[in-house]
Amino acid sequence: MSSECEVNYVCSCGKSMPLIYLFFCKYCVTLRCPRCLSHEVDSYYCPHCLENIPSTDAKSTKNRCLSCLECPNCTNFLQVRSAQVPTVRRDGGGKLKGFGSFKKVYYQQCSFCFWTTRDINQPDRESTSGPWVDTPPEDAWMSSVINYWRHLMQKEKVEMEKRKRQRRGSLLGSLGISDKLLPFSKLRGTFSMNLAGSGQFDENIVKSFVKVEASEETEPADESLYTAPGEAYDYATIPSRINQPCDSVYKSTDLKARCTHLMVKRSQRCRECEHNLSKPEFNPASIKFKIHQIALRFVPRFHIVKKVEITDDAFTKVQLSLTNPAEHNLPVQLVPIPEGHPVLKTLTGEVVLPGKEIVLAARDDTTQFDPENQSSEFDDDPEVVISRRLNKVTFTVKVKKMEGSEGPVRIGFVLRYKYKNLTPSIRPEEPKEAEEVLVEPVLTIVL
Amino acid sequence: MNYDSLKIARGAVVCAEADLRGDVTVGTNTIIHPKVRIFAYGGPIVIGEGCLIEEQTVIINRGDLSDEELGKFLKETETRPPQARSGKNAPLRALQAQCSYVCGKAVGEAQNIGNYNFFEVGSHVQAMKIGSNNVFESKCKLGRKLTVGDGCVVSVFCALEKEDHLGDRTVVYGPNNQRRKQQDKPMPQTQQLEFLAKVLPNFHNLKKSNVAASPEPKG
Repeated sequence: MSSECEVNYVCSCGKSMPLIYLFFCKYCVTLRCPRCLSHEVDSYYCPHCLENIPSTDAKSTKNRCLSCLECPNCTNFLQVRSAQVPTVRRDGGGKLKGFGSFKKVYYQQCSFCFWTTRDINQPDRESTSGPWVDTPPEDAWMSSVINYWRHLMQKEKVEMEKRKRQRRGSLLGSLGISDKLLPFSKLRGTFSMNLAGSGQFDENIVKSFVKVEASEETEPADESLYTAPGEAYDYATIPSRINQPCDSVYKSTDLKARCTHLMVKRSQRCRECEHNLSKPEFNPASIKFKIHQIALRFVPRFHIVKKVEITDDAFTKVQLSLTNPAEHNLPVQLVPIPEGHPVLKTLTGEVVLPGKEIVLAARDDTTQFDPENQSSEFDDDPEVVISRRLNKVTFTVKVKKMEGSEGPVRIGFVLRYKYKNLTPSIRPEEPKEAEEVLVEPVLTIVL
Repeated sequence: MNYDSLKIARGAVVCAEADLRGDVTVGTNTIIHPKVRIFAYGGPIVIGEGCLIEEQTVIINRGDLSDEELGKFLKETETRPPQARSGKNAPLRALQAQCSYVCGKAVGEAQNIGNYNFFEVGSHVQAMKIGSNNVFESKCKLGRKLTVGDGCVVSVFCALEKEDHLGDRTVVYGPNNQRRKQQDKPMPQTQQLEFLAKVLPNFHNLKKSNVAASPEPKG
């Protein structure tokens, strides 16, 4: 299969892409591209330690795995390394007295770009347990701010409710008994106050709020930036700066190891019929799927056997191979694209399709390694069908470049075949003949 | 000047299956695994002490060899077993038959490789000057015009063909040969060196050492 030639299938929405990216909805009996599907998050997991993380935990840690770190330079995983370091004995004045026995220290290292925590002058640790990343000091400030505004919000809500009640007037009020004296209203009041106090905030922090005023004058840049010769290695790269927006990283010593971002296992469903087309397994270490209706399993796949030069003088024979995904013999027919299809505008080649049906042999996984000669079983036109092997057929089509077209030759046709839904029915007492539905995906082939 | 003078210092472990041709000098505590090809074609090669040269490494002092000739030479020598050294002077004609391309010059430019370098499996080294404490990971390729400082790391499959100098403690990594500087030099592989020095002689025949002290780098 040549990697330069492309076989694209046109999805029901009009977008065309190779078959490997498409799904097949067997309820709508049509191809679906990733854009025709809606996504749902199934579960979160860490790509390094492959641990499943419940969604509440993920939310509280902002979608980060607390036990794994990623390199700020290349975003690969950091691994703990140990080193033997001699203990240093110092006397009272801080002077170096001598070296003691060796002790083990730990630091983090990236195995891809060899970045270590020592590069940012982070001291080595003596134990592997405990968090490697300190919570930034701004976190406490930020949560105080958020809680303060929440408190204000609750206060406002309570006041509004009070005003509403006062406007409506109360029966008891007209009797002369104040709202506050009644037991229920007291409880009501305390309830809402409790809700407001759910987050603690420091009054001092709130008092330190300063209104920020914009000014035209800015701090002048450091003089050394203009005079000192800078080395490229001293400054952090742009991708690593973008990864750490909170810290305004400038030099490479400002980079910090971050907790690994969690990945998501998602299930996809068809937007039209709302059936699930892709549902992965729960276990993060597993790459299997519970439901996996990829187009490769339902739609015959074309390959271009050999790349040939196509001219606009005469028809050239191009060999294509077709693989049958179904476990029964599949007769297929290639027909031209109907008039008015938008794909017709992009075609730059004319194609003469084989008029007759081609029968594809069934896919049989048991005979994968000992192919028998099957060509005698099928009545093949020797001009069209060249060879057969298991469930694959190689045949020829004649292609000619359209006059006045430039660039790669693009031909298009429709593959017509019948799809049988062979999943067993729920009620075994009603054996139904499996319905055959006509499927006609449109293909474009770039030669 | 003896073309085929192999000087192995005492303490070096050089397997007999390693193919060393030409004027090659190996320092103490260096370990050369079998199936290593060290060809001093364009001039002598001096390898420092404590180096660890793993299997299928090619260290070649290329001289004036063109790319095609080099490719042909390497392909020929890939599977051909090295000739057993008789120790004393092999006749020059026999030598010419072994090493089918013979350097026309009496003395060529020396290729100096420093101490405590680690050449992982399959690395291809043509660089003329290499410092100490470097790590060259598997299948990396260093071109002839490259010079390497101390403490560098060239990552897996990185090819550095152009004329350049890798400063001290440079790390070359990634498919696009990205670079960065690291704080510490890579640690010398003392544990591996000790282990291999003990274990390799049990399983391989070794070439005998014929020089007492570690040699000085030439030129």
